Amino acid sequence: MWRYILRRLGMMILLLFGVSLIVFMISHLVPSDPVATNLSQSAQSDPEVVAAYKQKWGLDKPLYEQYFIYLGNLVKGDLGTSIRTGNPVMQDLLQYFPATVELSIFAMIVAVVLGILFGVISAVFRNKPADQALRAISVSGVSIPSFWFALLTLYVFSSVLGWFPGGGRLDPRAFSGTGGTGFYILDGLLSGNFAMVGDALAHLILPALVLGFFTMGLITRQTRSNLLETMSMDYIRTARAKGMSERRVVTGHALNNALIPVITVAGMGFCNLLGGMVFVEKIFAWPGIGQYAYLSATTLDFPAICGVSMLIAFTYVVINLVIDILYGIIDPRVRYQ
Amino acid sequence: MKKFSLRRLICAALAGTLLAASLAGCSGQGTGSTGKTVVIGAATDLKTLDPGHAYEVYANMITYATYDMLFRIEGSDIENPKPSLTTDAWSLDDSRTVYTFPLREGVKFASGNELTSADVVWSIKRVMNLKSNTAAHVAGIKSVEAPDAKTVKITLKEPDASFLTKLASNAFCVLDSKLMKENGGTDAEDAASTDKGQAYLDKQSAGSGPFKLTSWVKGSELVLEKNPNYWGTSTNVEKIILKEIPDSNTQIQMLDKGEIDIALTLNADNIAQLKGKNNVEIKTASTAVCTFLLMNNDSKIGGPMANADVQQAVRLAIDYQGLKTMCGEGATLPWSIVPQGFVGAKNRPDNYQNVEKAKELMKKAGYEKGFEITLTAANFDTEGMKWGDIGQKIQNDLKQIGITVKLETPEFSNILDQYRNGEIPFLLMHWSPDYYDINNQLAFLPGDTVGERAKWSAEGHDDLIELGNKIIGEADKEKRTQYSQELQDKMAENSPYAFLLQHPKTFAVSKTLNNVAYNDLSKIQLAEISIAE
Amino acid sequence: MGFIKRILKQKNFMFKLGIVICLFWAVVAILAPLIAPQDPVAQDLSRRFMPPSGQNWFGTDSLGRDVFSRVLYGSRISITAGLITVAVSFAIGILYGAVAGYVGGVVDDIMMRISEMIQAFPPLILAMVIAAAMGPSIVNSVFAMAIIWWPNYARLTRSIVISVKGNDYVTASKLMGASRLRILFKEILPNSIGPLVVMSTLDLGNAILMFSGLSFLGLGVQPPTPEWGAMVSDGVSTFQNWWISTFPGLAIFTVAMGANFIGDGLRDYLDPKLRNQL
Repeated sequence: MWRYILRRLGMMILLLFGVSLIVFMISHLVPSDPVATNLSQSAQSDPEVVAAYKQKWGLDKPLYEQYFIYLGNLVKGDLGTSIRTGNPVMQDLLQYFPATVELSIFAMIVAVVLGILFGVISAVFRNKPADQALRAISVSGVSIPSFWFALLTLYVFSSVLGWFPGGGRLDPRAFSGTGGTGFYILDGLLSGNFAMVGDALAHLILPALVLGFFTMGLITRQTRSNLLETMSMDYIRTARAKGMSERRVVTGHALNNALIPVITVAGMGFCNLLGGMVFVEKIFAWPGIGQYAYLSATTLDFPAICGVSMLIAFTYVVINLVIDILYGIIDPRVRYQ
Repeated sequence: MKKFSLRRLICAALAGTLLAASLAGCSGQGTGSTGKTVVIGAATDLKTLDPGHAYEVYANMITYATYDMLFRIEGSDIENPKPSLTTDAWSLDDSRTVYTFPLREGVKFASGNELTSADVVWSIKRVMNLKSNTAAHVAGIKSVEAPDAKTVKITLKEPDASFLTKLASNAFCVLDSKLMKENGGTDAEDAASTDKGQAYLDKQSAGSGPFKLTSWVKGSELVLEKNPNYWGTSTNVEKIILKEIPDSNTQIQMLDKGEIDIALTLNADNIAQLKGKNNVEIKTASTAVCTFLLMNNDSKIGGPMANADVQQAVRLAIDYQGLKTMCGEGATLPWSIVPQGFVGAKNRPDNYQNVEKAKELMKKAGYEKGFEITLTAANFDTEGMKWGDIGQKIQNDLKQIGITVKLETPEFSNILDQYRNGEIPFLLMHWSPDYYDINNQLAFLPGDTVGERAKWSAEGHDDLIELGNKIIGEADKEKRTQYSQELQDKMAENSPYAFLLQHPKTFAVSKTLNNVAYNDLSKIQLAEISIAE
Repeated sequence: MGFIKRILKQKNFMFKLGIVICLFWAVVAILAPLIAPQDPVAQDLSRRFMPPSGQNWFGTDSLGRDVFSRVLYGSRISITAGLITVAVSFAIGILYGAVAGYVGGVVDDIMMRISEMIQAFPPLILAMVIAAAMGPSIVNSVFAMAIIWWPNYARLTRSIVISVKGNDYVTASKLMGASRLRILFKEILPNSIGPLVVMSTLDLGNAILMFSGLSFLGLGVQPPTPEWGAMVSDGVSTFQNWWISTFPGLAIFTVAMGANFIGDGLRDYLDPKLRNQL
């Protein structure tokens, strides 16, 4: 198993290398000037100022040289400096990532809990109205444009009904988010500030629901079809034949086996969250990686884009690895090669 | 692993979610009123708070609170900077190039260090040598000296009627030179590459203003606290928090719920949500930002757009009244390059549109049947008004005179290079002055910065250039007004530009605040706000 | 035709609903110029932000244009873009995957590493960067999406090719002296088309979602072209005029849902293990 993990880690490095190469290629095949956005009107017309700026950011060197400089720094853990914010990209990522992780964890909780629940109900009552309704919800989950759904929930629940705060992570007047781990709920719990925990949760619920909706749809579908498949198997029939109640058949026998493949879907769903994040964070004013990625992409801030891409690719690979390992632990039939 | 129970896991997770939800429910209002705090929600573009590098739209809002300059804009009166670090005894010699500024007594930095003329000289020299975004402000300075500890002498290369206005901007913020030298700051000739002060100034301020910067997480939150060593009088506000909220609807929601006190970056269309709320006041202020169409004067690039008759036909075909409606309350129509608030500014008549005359001009130019042209309008906005929307309006209007406009909306950063090199045939742009004087607008003259971008060369335009030169140095306001108007009249109907709108600034303020003054340079005068008792 | 008849005879209500929805939008897309009550780009500044009424069923937008007509016309752009994206990814993916699976060995290994690299890339971010860098246009965003989409098809094709490579009929035609290419195209691919079709139907919904997402971010179509994602974003700055965003959003939602219903139904139908469950 260790050999397997090592091999996967080796591939991960290769992957990250590839990702950096792709971004770098795009960034330089493009007829655009990322620097231009960062100087004032009058400074732009002064060639001396422009030259000084290009030199400062290494933009005057040939392409391959820029890439090797970048790779060299990368090995040292230096992702370069964001052109847009002027901060080291690593610092930016560390600042924005906790917000995104916090939101994704809650979105995943929503997705997994509701997804499995709906999937089970759907399978048990298959082709009954409950099944039809839940299947419609799960298909909605994967069909609804998240930017529109986010807008709609914000409008209805925050603006019209006033049940939830309007956006952001905390009430800025009451709490200061700076100075902790960046995970506000954790920060609040650690410091015993339960009002802050409550406030952070109130801000989390809507975006987490919107973000988790897609993954919930995936999980509901998968749970339903797996459960139906397992329930048609011989050992379940045997259990039924022995006179076991339907309830015990489902919860005691079928569910555990049916849920194993769901882990894979959950993993896929988690990676999908990172895509939907761009819209949800934009609309809910959530200061996370998604917003950072959007702003970096539209200002063609390539060091930042490269950093974000690698962070997400890294997360993606790690999650997949964890899932594979989990899989092996839960299902002894799986063997690593 | 046989007893691995996903069921239990799910139950626990479900319970956890419910607990979380109930906790969130009972927390309800988190009104932990922490003293006298003002919270501002805005979508800013702040990249740095180093006065030597900053040029961003909202930079002066912060530097005005944390630094002092020799001159300062008070309240909303952007036309008349008032002495601040200097006294009323300042003077200008007869050559109108040598300024002598006696410094105010008893001014201390937030650090406790005394502010002397050495600090002023050091700060200005640093900016001159940084060769950064603020370079234009100090370009006219020949020398800056400190004859004694409380006097500063600045000598200009040529007379400059806009110098006091320039003095009132972030380029002339006075930094605590002792503190800065300890933290990597330098005013040496090679400061452009050796100065390390920016990183320091992005974390804390080094000034003598009414507030000091205590923390800044870029793109998220900025905190100012009262400077206990401030020399002047200050209000009852202890702390100001600037919260980065990119979406204007979110700002409105938060203002309505009392989470923020000022929603600063709104647009004319969504402000309607706040009408009729009695805890909020909607404010409209004027800015100097103008949008304009640039029609490339080189026929190799602009094609038919380079034709003077076509250019005038375009100006005549536009429905300015409609644009004004779209832009909202407070929008004005600049006649030419000079926006309201600048000396001699003239407005375009609302009913300027004249499609018949425009058609005649098209015919005269030989384009009776019209032509097709691409209008570049970046994915960007001016004070909340999307360029794409303006572009669609122009497209619609020009259809009437046979010009088929194809719209392109690339990212702003993608077109800047082409804009600077004058490679775009037909372009929607805006101009936000670096300093608030007509001199800044002279960049539009033929052969000057923007003129070159329109491929409008100086050749054959001696009259315009001469007028411009007169305006630069003219001290007499009446004469300057006259020159300004003459210039506008000459350029309005005979230049490769069509000025569209001067955009208003719309924002909303909680009624718990008093004295929220706005001007286009320092935006909200943070240091002047007070909280109603 | 027997295939289609059998599908339609299924008891699956969702599947039929999916077909109805998609047919509806297909008809709307084709007939848009005939059924739209107004010119989708005609501006009327005196009628800005009109709420839904008899005159404007879905209200008007910031330039006084009829949202209903724009939604109808929008179907042409979104559906076409989705179809082209899927078709291009399908074509690239199937070729790439077939070659990798059939040739095998080192070539297969390298080809799969390359496709994994692209898959590990956050899809929306890659699309955003490509679209932002190349300048927004329908062609560019379709191109950007196809670039990130094809590896899914490549991987599926490859796995199918590998699994049928050893089947008796393939071996038989090999013995009969058929060329490699002939075997690939005549024997292997036709037998793997089913799962690929399911995948592409399910993907059509996703492609439409992502395309409208890019337009929502300002990286897709150029104004004044009516496109659903861009129309949703028109309404963002005027929150209180809910109709501007709501109707185009609903349109995206229904089309994606229709495609998903059909995809689900096809999958269940083609999966013999599930067929008796329906």
